[in-house]
Amino acid sequence: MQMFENLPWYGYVILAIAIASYAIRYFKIGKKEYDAPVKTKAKFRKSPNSDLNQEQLFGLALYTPIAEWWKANTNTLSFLTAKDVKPYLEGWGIDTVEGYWDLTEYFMKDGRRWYFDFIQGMIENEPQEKWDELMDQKFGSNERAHRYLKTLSSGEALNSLKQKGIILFDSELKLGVAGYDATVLVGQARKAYTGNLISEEEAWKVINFAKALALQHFSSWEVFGKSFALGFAIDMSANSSTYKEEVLHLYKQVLESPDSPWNTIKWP
Amino acid sequence: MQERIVTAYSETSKVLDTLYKKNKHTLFLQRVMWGITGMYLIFMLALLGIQYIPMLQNTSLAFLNVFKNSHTDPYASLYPIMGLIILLYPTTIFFTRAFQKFKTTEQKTIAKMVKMLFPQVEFTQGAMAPSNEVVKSKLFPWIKEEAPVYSYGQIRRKTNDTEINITDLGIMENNVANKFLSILMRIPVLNMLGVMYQTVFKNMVTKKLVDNTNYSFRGMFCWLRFKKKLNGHTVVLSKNQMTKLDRLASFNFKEEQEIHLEDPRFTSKFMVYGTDQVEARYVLSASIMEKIVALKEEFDRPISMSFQNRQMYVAVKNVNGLFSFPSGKLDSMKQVEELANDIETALEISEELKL
Repeated sequence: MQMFENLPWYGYVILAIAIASYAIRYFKIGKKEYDAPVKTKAKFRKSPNSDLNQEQLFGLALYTPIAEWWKANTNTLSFLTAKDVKPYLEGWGIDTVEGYWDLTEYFMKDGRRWYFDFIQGMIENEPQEKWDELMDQKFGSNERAHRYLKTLSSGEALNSLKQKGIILFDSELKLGVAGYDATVLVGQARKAYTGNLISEEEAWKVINFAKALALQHFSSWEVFGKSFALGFAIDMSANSSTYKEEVLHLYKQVLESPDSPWNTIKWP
Repeated sequence: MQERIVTAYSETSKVLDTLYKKNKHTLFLQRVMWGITGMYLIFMLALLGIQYIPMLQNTSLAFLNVFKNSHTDPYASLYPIMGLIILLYPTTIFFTRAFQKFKTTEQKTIAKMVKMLFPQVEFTQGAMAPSNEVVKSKLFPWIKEEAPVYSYGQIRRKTNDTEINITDLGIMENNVANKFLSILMRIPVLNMLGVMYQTVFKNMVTKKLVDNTNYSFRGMFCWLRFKKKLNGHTVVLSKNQMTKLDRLASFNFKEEQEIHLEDPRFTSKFMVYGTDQVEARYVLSASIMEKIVALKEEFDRPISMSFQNRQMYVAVKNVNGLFSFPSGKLDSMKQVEELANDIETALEISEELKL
């Protein structure tokens, strides 16, 4: 410590600046590392007791990227345990039968397509001066709608997906977000069934609707996947950045891995 | 096409002039920044030398003794270093800002030009480089999935039965030359000289901006569907001893053998490696070889290609990059013509080679 005793005044200033900048950097990086997404490897877990047919497996496969994040089976209607899915159901406000059906009907009829199709169309076809007026007419003070506008008009979601190699060209925005809506329907049906909110028959009805929605809009897993990723990235743009990064990391494996349901189950 | 070139040039000529000025300004700042860094390194070397090599005390370097720590001034050695850091800090900020501004304008101009020249294609910038296609192409012997590959833009043209992708890539391959340099960097003193040459000197004397100085490959990389079904692969490389050495030294293609073909015009310009002598001759028919030679003449740059599993890959070296401008004056239509010619030739590869 003797070396620090006879420093000139500016020596102490330099030392203080060095310590402060090191501390700021240390805590900044430390936090960043703590929040960094965990890049796990997709395992495509399978239950040996599954007796589902190919059509049913296809329906379940729509949810694969998010199911992988939950570490759920790819070949069963049930999704982990009722205890595991409870916080999710509560978070989405679908922990009651009425709550579940309200949200499911919304996703069947409008979903995030309602926001995306209007806002993207407006950005492409209308002058920017008219956006506020059109947004007010359609959505009023709907917070989600304004967030969608911000994310889409700034190119934030598209650029981030471009950098990840998930979407490459602006024209791919035309795919819309029906893929994401179908995915959400499948996931929530599986979780609601596991949470004893709906019957097995009701769950398959919702999954079949999601399947029809996907087949109506897309011709391959690749195109469906891009629509899912786009909708997911926009919907998660406000928060959950760690969760978003982890799911998108798994999404790429779901698309590319030969063991993935997207490569073992043929798109009809 | 000529009409489109004229329109694209007239629409962008003013920006091209601005770009030339911005490039010149950025290059100047780049040289200043690396010049200061070089001075710092030389100073450090000299300071080390004067302390450990007594005979240097009798040379002109003896003036460095004033920067030696003493009882009267224990921080003498810090002053010049602090001075250099104070100089380096604002220079780095100025350079970074100028570089960002130049790159943003360059990107916008290129996007505008491509749109005007080829309205039928899709063009993207800022997208992830197609590393898996680069690895699959087998054109770069040392490349690995995780190797640094940067994309400066990508074109895609889809028709009913074909799809072609054209990218402008910068690849840093850990090839023989780079391996040799990394060995050099592990030898004390020599590594200081290596840094001086590789980082400081190269960035000071080059006419290229700093993002483009360390690539082992910069240029066009395309991939498209090939109608013949192949079981193995066939690779056509420009005739070059270094390319040959890299291919052999990588040991990544042990299954390959050199294919000796008969066309003298083709063999004087290219060497061929493949997994199957018969399949290579099936792919490289006399007419295809003739067309590859014509293609090389059309591009007028080193060209390599590979064929495998219904896919064809083409790489054309271009030190300035396909979607970047060279550092000289941009006041003629030549830049637009070159860009249009390169993209048009690549887009027509499929028809040219009758794939």
